Amino acid sequence: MPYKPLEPTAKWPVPRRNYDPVIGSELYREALQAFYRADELGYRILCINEQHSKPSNVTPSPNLLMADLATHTKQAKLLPYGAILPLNNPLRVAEEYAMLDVLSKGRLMAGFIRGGASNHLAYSIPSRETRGRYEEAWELITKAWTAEEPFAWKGKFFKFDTVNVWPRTYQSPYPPIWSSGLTDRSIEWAALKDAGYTRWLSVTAASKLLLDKYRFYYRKYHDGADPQASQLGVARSVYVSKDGDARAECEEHYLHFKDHVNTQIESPYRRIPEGREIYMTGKILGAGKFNHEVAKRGGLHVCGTPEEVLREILAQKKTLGFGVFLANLSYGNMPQTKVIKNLETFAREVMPELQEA
Amino acid sequence: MRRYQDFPAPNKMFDPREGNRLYLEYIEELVLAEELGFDYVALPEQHSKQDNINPSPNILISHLVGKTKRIGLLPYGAILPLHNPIRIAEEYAMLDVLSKGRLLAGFVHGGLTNYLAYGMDYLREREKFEEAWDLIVKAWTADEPFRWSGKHYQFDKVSVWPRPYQKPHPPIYTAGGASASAAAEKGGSFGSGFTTTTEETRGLFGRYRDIYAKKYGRAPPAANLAAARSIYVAETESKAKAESERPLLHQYRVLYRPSMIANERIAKKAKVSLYWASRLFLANEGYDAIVKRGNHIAGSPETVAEMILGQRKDLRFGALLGLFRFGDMTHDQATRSMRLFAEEVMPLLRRAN
Repeated sequence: MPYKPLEPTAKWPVPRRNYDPVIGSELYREALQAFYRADELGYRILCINEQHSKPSNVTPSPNLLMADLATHTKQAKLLPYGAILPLNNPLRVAEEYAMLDVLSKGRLMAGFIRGGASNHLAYSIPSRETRGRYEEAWELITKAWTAEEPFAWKGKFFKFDTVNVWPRTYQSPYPPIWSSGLTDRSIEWAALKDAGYTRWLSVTAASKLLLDKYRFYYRKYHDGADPQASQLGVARSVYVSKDGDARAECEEHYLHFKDHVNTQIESPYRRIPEGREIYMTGKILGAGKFNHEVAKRGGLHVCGTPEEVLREILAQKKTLGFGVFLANLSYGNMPQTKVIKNLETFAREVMPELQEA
Repeated sequence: MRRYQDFPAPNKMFDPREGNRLYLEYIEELVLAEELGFDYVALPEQHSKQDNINPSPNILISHLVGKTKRIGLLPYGAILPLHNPIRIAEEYAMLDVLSKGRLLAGFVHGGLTNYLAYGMDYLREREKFEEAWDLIVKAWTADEPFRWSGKHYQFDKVSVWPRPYQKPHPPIYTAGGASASAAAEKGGSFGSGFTTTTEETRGLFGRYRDIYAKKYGRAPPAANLAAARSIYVAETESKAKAESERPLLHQYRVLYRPSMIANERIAKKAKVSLYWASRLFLANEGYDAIVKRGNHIAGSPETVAEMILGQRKDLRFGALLGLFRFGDMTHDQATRSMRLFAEEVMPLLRRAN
């Protein structure tokens, strides 16, 4: 949910004096309405990131938005993707996800991620601690969800006398966990934990390497069994236009989105001495200014007529073997009318074919 | 691990289907409040217990934003020492923007059992309250990113998005004995608790007024002070007692009691005297005694109005927070009482103004 009026800037953190809450409230309202529409149109998963201190995505708490969606949507699953575990108190994550799962009658998918530099910096969390916090939090949360009796936890990063989380989750044993990650260890961990794994912002070739790595670790930890396609996801920005010139309609918005990502999400890695090593970015993402052509060729941006879009997604599906496709249909400074048109066109012209395939 | 008699109640008692049904009922009651003309609804933060399943009131507040248009929304309140103040600043700013300026920002010290649920030592951690308050207000209002090097919190660069909707920020509400002094110093509103007796409330309000006058050179606006009472309205006085006695005692003896016992034992072990860690006596008293202490207001519309106006004359509060559904009272019973209150008591209160 970007603060659309702002142009991307290299200044970090982005000064907040330019945020107008009246405009901000309209933007939230529109974003939520787009989600309601998506639910009506049959999109199966609604997904919101956690991002701090930046206009590219004004969602420090995706859970608050999910609480709204729990009321106003009926069938779609709700995926905060994901709680940045090193930033949050794990008990709080356990509690909020349980509340959301109960409120939505079991529609929550629990996103757990380690997060990137910009968000760790926003909370002054030392990067070197994030791995340990991430894994310990994950274990603690899943134990809190399943323990039959109150228990004590004495970990390296978290110590709690008496863990007894109310409410319990609606789903049993707990909502399905979805994760991500570029580093070897994050991928290994997700596979070990049998969590869903999604690639976003990696070009198709790199996505194949990473998904294959997930498969490798999965087989290692699950007696040679392969992961289901249904636990492998790919996220792409998508713009589809039936009668118009798709590129002309979306190019400006795509570049606005990508520039925001570059300046606010990727460039902060440079502020951390071992940023590239700790986060593995730059090597896989090919960070730098993308133009429309490059993004399209790399498979990051899927844009065209319904036939072209379908063809590209199916080609990626053949190469990558995912069962879940997360379409980012509202990005950058795309105005609401275009967002709705994009949502509706994709739902009518592409989704049915995709679901057959 | 620390366990005190029946606290904490193991969460295996929770049935998610029943939980969902109850959440939806409570939400319906809160939405009804807007229809009936109440000015705001309040939701406390409570962890690890069955009598109030709301560890993150912001989740339910956000849910309510989408179902209401006008009513004020008060998470009452974020237990500051338990959380990252930056996170509270962010979430409250989001709620304020989402609701177009209907958020009332609750900041509280919170009860002992909540510190226990988060593995924290109350005596050590409660000190964080004031620094957290100051940090949140700065995070809301600063134009430029800033560094914070405090006693309890250190952040390199704080730059909270979004900004709040209200200017300079949402009004701050506090509750509970521990917060009276801080609230007065900082000009926030202050409310007594449901288990604070009239006598104790008088003392707390007095302290608030003294500190406020000393700091600001004048008396605080009446609206800054709120009393909290359970309220039940029926056609006649005897009906009101007959219908509300059992749920009231259920509230005190079954729902409140485990935490009251835990609070007392924790305070005793730590050798501190905290008025609200000594509430157990209320769980041992009967209906009439609780009414006499001022904690329960029940009767016909006229009696209820009279009791409220009487307490107001005595305590001079500007706001009254009513607990209309308590104990094992049903949804229908509670909403009937709420409607009677709105239709018959509110006009009497307005006339007295």
